[in-house]
Amino acid sequence: MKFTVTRSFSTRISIYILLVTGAILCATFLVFYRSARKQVQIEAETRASVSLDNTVLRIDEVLHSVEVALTNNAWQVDRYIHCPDSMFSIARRLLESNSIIIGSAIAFEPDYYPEKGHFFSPYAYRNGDSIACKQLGVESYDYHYMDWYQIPKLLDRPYWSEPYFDTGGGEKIMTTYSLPLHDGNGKLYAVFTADLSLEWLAQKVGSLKLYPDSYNLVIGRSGTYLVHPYPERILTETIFTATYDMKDTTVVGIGHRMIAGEKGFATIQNDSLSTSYIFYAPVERTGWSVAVACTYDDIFAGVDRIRNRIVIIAAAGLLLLLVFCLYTIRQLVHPLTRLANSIRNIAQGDLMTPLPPLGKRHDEMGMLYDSFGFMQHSLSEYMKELAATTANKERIESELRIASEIQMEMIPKIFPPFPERKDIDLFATILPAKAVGGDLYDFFVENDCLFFTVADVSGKGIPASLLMVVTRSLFRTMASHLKTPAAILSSLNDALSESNESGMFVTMFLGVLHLKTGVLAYCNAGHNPPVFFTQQEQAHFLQVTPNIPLGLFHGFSYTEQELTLKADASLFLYTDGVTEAESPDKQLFSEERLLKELDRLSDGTPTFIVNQMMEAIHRHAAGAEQSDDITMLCLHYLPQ
Amino acid sequence: MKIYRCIFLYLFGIWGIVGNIYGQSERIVFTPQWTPQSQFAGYYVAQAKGFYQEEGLEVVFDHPSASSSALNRLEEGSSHIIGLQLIQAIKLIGDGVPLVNILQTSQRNSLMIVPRYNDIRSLEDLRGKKVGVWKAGFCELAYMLDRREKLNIEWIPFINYVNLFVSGAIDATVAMSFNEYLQILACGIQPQHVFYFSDFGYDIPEDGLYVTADYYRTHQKAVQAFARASVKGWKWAAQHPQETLDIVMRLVRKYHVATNRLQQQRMLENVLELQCERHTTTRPFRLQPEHVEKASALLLDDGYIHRPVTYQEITGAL
Repeated sequence: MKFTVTRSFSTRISIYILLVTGAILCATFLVFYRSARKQVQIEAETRASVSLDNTVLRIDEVLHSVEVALTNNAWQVDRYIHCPDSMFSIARRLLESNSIIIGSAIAFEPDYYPEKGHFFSPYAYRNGDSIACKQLGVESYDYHYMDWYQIPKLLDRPYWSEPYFDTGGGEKIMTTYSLPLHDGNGKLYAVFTADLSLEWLAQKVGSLKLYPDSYNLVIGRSGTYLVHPYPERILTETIFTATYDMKDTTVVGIGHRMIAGEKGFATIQNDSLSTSYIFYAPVERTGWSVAVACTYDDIFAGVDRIRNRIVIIAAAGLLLLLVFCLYTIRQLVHPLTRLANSIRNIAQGDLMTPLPPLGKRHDEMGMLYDSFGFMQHSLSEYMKELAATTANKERIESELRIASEIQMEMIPKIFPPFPERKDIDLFATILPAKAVGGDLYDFFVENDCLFFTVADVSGKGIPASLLMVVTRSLFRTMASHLKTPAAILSSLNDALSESNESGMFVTMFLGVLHLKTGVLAYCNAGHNPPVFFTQQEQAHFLQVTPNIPLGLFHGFSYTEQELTLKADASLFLYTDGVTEAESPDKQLFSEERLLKELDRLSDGTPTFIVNQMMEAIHRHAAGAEQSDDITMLCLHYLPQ
Repeated sequence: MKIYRCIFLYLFGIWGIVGNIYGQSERIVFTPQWTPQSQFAGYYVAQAKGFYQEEGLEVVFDHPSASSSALNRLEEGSSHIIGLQLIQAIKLIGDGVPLVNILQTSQRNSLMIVPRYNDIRSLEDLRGKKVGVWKAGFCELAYMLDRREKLNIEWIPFINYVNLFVSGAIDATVAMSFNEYLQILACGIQPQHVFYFSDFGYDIPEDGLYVTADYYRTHQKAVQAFARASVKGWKWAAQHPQETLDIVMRLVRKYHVATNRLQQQRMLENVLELQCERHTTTRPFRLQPEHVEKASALLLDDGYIHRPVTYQEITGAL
């Protein structure tokens, strides 16, 4: 299925806005959340550290009080060593003055008092509210191999026993502080003990409630749980028990650090697989370690509540923003759709299609709407103008076509022009740059004289063509009365310059060839000099007096020149449209090229020469726009 | 009437058979070596699953205490069948206490010395050190090794070794691989060097069941039935370890033994492994003559006994 939602402009913009806003919100939120969590973590560590220290201190106070009590009473054992039975009283008094101690023994070395037998261990203990005494050592209870006796004896220093479950009657967890007693020779003779129920330990540790779901642990030197939220684990499991099959050695590491008496904290995955912090601190006196485990959920509950609220608010806000964007942008761009429909109609030619109503809006949409309205109006006006202009142009073009036809009809176009004469061959052509041109050629024979001319009117188009027509008419008229080229041109100059307010002029070369004698009289009025050539003689420009173009100065006297043409001589007359024909790279056809081409074509007929020259010019132009009229006239004199 | 008479006779017959069985059921008091743990799982299973009852036995478990060992119970006559290690049994027989092995479960030796600190890397490093041993016994092999290697070890008898070991009051302890060693590991202590007695030429099998020669003579069928049911119990335990652990843990809780299920699971796995001959997975459940011969020779050489004890003698064949 193709996902087309994004094709909607409003949806796309809305999504972009939403994405950018969402990204900014997320980034801001993440920075805030991480900072907040870090801060909470620091506070939690400080709080846990202080609370643990206080708890350890309270535990230590109790343990210390027991140690002090025992140490303070030890001297009595030494003093009354000669009186074994007084040991019961010493133990009893210890209990009387220290309510926390629930039992005390003064356990002697084997056979210390021969009269008392192998075992002698006076023991006072609490029996309900009273204090009872008994002799602890019997065959079935060889106290010499009990931890509380054997370990301090071997270590030869006071020792807090690892807590144990007392099955002798108390049915509670106990620990025993043992103080080895030495005689004057430094030899151990007895171990003075004080039993302590660990109910207070659980209470003191239990009072450490950092978080609603936090729980506390106490482990002994061997890692055995002394306090644990699961009572069945107490004294039956160690902190390492559950780590047998664990790949994660975090808990093992924590256990070792706790046993080593270190203080610190770590992150663990507890039984419920939730991540927890575990803070731990040692009770140095006994080698225990107190730990409090707090789940991340607990520690970061406050931050997480704020996080949840922010997420909900942000999500709702983004949703609202999306709806708002969609609605607003759709409202804004809705006219565009209608405008687009109208524009499509306009584009299809229906310029009068009304634009949809928009109301008064001064925003970009209003500007766009106004611009389209203006464009529609302009287009409509333009189309009207275009229609009129086109009609006008068509009329002008039609007139120009007619003018061109008239103009072309004025110049002789029948070749060979004098089929009855064998002494002259002549060919001419004219190629206007526009519909009508300003170039002119003409020729006629009168009284065995060939009048021929090529002229170029300044400028192009209709003005030039009009002047060309005038020039041609005047030339015909005057040539029939005046026989010399200079006279004809002088008259022509006077006639043209008389009312030449527009300052136009005409360059012209006029030749009169006496066909019987071969004498050529010619006069040049600022025109390009013709090229003279024969089959044997190279083409070269005819030496001409330039004079000035016609129509510039009234009364100018033109100088005439004369030349006798030999048989087979050719003259090539042209206008500057030939030598100045441009190639696409603006290179001129040039006079040199003209001479070169004429040398190449010199043995051809005038028709051939002119046509070949025209082709050479076209090849040179290579499709470039023709900038000036091209006129060529070639005559070949062949006297009989 | 005929039908009623048949039903009556049928019911009377069943009553008679049941009554006969109950009337003949033998009461046997059994004392394993130590307090309840997976080391004796097969016997607990046989009791719990009624295998003893099926053999017509009424078995009472009477666990020993620190002050009253299984042997004391046997000598007093309060227990009929006890658990003993082979080396102890041969020593007792050699000392003139006539005992008969009725079932040998262990086929390998689990005894080891575990140093407290890792600076003890060889037996030589134990020279003159304090090493813990059970006060209740089981340590003949340890003393033999000490004498053979002339280590002059100061043996410290203990009842409960864990705290003694952890506190550093002793430099090393003798341990069973399926029991004390596992507890040491559970204390987070990971010894780098341990010494198995089996690696020093003392691969003598351990746990077996014993009765006095007199009792064996007079109650041969009963003790054989007890052995059969016990083997059945052990086989069932090997096939159903979790249910077996359930049974063991019920007893552990009843007797307030400070242990846990995971610990007992490890012990069960280890004990079941020790019941297989080395490099095999089969449990023969019987005494091998060469093991008796070797144990007897060791004790004789070391002066514990003054005459050899034979396989025939210990199995009651004489």
